[in-house]
Amino acid sequence: MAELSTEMILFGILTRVPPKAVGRFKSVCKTWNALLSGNAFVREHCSRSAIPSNQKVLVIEHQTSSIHPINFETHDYEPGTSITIPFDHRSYDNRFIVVSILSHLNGLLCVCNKITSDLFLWNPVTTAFKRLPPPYSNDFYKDNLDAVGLYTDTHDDFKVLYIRRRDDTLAVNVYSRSDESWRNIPLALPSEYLTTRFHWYSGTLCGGTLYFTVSESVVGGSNFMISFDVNSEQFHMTNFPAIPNHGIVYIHLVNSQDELVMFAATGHREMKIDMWILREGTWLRMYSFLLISLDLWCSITHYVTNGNKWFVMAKFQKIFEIDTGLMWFDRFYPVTKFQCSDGGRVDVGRVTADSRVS
Amino acid sequence: MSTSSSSSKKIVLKSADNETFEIDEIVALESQAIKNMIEDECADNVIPLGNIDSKTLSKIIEYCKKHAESPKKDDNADIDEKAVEDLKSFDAEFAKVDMPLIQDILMAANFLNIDNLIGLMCRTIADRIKGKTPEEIRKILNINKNDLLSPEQEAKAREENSWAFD
Repeated sequence: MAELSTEMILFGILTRVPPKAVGRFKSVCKTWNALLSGNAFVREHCSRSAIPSNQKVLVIEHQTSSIHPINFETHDYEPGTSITIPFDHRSYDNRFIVVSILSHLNGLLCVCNKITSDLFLWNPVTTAFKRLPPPYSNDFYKDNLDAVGLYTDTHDDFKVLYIRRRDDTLAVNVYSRSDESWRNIPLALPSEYLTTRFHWYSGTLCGGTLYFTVSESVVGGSNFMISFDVNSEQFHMTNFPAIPNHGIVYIHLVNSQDELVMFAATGHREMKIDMWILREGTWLRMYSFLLISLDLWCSITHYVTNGNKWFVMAKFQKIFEIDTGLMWFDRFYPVTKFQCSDGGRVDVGRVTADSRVS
Repeated sequence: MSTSSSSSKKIVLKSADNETFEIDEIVALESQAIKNMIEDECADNVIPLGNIDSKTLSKIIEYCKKHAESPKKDDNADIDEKAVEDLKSFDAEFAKVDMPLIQDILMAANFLNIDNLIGLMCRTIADRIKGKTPEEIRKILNINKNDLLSPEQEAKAREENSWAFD
């Protein structure tokens, strides 16, 4: 009998086993040990929806944190198992969780402790974590001023882009996981976007570029998009779709198989959701979903897709479906972070298989 | 110029052990590789498959027949759920064969480029091996003895992934 090719075993079969099996199988042989830790495998493994156990979300609330599997029949989240955050994450009086999920990539979450202002990379599946060394001597990550973006470079090195704003100056540093150190990156942008009047959202990685939405305010004001080419390490201003600059504007960016999708919920009392796609530098409006009552938009937490429909999610439940009539892909893309209308906070991060944090 | 209708046209497949299988062209078209051959008009009446034995080939034809006669998903958005369920249970039954045959079917499906069947076989193998220990995996997938980690490397790999061995 002929043998299965290594490629078939690795990408066909092993991308379909749960994260725990991947961890165990690193002991099988030298080839598997090397390939199962490689970025090509990790990427593919993370994106396989065929393994429900590989598609979970981490939900952090005021006092609890838990991991929830996604039910692929109903597209709701199943009851979760509570998990322990393995690093400093409590308020001084020990009552509240003060950790916030900023971004996720390949199963790793980037989170900050809002009191100590520390940044962590964390894999909730393997419990591995790393506290990033602070690049500055004073306060590190300020949740309302700073922003991060995660990417991997051409050498498969995992990087954290850290945008720091203090007193109308903006500094950019990038952390390399293989070097375990920070490096400053020069930034030349019109200075008006650098002021603390604008809020930077976490970067969304799409086709070698990190996209940052920069908003003047949730209620009215201008929105901009700034992109960072991860290869040339250059920042650029990118077009922004024609979204009204009055009323309430809520923007979510989602990477869908290397296409950048923007969901913009706009309006006042009655919200409208527009779905935009960035193609060759131009935003195309693919879909408009009209008039959602106010308390609905307030509880929108993130958007996910199952293949040909998008689901607008509120915490654990689907609020409604957007059937675009287009064929999408077999992937889920939970967005990471949101506020709840009741003032409560819920953070969601996608949890997958990477186990490389040391 | 083609005179016969496509539904009645026959294709003959010949296995490595020289057994021939006459099937409807529509069944053969489940294989992207055969489809390409037919479209490029480089398929003779008989298509020799020198690397697929008759046992494997008959399983593959069984699969293609069933899938060819099932309504396709993209033909009609609201095909009845029964057909979908029926195909699902066929797939589940189909995969209940021993590991060597599954691997043979996977290799043949890969050669013939039958996407759904590749996926089904990969999922089946993944399901069967996911709970196994590294020792069992080496046996099942016939891992080359020269490729094993040294005792120190293996201890290190286990240590680093101790979360996966609970």
